[in-house]
Amino acid sequence: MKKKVLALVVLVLFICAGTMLWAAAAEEAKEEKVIFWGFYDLTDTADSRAAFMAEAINGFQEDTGIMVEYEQVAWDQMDNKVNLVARSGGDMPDVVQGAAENIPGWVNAGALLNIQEPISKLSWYDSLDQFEKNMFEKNGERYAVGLFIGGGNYYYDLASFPNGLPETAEEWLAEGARLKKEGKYALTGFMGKGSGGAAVAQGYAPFFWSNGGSVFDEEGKPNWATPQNIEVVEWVREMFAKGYMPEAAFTGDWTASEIPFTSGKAGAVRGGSWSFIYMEGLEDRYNRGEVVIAAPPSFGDQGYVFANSETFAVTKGAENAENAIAFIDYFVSNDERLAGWANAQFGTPTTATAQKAEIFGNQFYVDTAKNLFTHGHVSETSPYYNECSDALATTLQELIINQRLDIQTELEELEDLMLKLYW
Amino acid sequence: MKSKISLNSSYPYLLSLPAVLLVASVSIYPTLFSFYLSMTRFRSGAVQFVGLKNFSILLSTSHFYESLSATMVFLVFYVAITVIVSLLVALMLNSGIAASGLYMTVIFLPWILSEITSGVVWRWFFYRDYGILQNLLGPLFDNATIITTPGGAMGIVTAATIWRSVSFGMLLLLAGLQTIPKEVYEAANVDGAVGFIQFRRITWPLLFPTVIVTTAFLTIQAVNNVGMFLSITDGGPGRATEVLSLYMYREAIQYFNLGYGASLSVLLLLLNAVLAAVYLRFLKRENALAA
Repeated sequence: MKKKVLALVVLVLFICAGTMLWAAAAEEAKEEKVIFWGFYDLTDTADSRAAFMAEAINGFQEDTGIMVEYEQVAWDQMDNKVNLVARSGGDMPDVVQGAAENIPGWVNAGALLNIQEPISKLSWYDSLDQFEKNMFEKNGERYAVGLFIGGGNYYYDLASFPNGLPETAEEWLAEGARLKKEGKYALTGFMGKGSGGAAVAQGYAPFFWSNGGSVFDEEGKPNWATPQNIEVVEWVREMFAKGYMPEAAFTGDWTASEIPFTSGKAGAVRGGSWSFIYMEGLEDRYNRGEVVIAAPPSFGDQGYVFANSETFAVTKGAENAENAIAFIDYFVSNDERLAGWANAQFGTPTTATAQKAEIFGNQFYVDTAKNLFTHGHVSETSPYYNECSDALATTLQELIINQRLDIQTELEELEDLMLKLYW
Repeated sequence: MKSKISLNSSYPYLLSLPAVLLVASVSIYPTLFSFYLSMTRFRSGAVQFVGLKNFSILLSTSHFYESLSATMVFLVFYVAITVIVSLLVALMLNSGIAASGLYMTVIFLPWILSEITSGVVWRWFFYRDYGILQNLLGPLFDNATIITTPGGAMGIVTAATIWRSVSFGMLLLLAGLQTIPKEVYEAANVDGAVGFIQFRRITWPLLFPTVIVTTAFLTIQAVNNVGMFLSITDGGPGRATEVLSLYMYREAIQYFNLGYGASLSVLLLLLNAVLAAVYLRFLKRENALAA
């Protein structure tokens, strides 16, 4: 009997010791990782951004001993996924990659951690561009760090505009009429629905700003049925109805909307600083001097393009919050690394020191920086950014395609619906 | 004696209890919960009870009526054409043609493909410059990009969904055709009733209950169809193909507007119930006439 009791005691002790060891090992392992949701497929070596990210992650792991658990979430799915997981109480990562306009919505969903204090203690904080600080610091709170600044670029095929590049809305209509006779469109670019209402942020909003209008007011509420905005919609309608812009711009398919330009059937395209990666043949045409970056269409004294920043944000309740800050620090603290990351995205880094890197002296960056500094406009934000932008992009598409619809009535009704649904 | 009677009377209920519990947990509970959700809204992770406000907003917006109209247009064309094509294919296969197994396999292929895969392929067919059907059919539409016109987009989704569903309809109708006794046809042949007369006098009356059931199934499929719309047009251009089910999906899943999405699902349930009731009434009347 004694032997049995002794054996039982030994067994219990053995199980307890094993459990404690396992718990200790698990705790140790927990401290040495960071879970990261990023946009890119790290196995795609042909993608400069993915290759850079993979190399940076390896470097971070080697330098700090913190392992990175990476999960790819496509850029146009990230907003949905973060919102869904945050609202349903699912497992969040520690760090999330996102666009600046996603941040207020994620804060509203209770997804993000205020990281003002830890970030302001880091060595590179004072070197952060004022553009970045204006974007991400509000009322002493910061929920993300901007890594690079990018934005809209209007690319012009010089041979299509022998009389000079159009700037004002009237000049665009005149050039549209001339080019139509040659069987070409004046302008193309994504103006469809979907992709998180990107057509609004990149296409319509800069026109609205140029005409004195806006997308959201200071509280982030929709502000659409204004005379300034309606005038812009009428102009886009005219460009479309007269065949100066292709239907492909309204299909909701990004690549399809750019094909008229890449195939030589459109004189200009609205793209982004990142279009060098995506738009077929653009880099070669640009380097040969056939294509230039120039002023966007203007409705008043000033034409605009949207300016944006890609961010890393730390989630509320992150199990590895300190490692998450270390991960951000790793990217931003080293000028060469931050410059390399911005270059891989064809953007400008957010710290003054990284901006001095040699690569930003080439013609593309000089032209892009000039364009963004002259015409760049920060996108307005809203806690219901995606919901409102998507709805507006859809209604604008309806208004452009169906010329019988009354612009003011439709925009007022949509504005009213959004206010009822979300505020 | 009394306890034995009691046990005997409760025995069937006990046997069916697991199935009832299963159905209740996966079907009845979610349905009731949808009713509850439809009277709430979510803000910053918290639930607020708002009564019938979601329904009031929904019924006062033109988007709902646009979606209802798109749903009805799709429903009518999809169900009518699918039933007719399925019936023709079923009659062909039932006539004992050679290699009917091969035809059946070919017809069944679209059904076993996922909705999204089929949808993406159909969208590619209508890509500007690259799409094979766009290039073939474009001249009939003044070389417009067919998928960017409201009618064209609805036509493409309808055609793609019919292409996918014909096999399902055909299978039900073929099963119905095979239950008709051969002796009836033999007797009709002796009496000289052949061809279309045979179809009108024998096949159609005997197949009618199956046609009603097939129509009911296809109707429910049509009202609940999300995948094909999502993958081909995403509801566009504008809201031209944003049917009620897609509207509900967008609000509930894409925007996490769960209360509003649930109120749409309640209205969809009512629509399905009304349509199902109409078909059941047809079926009952037909059975009564047959009796």
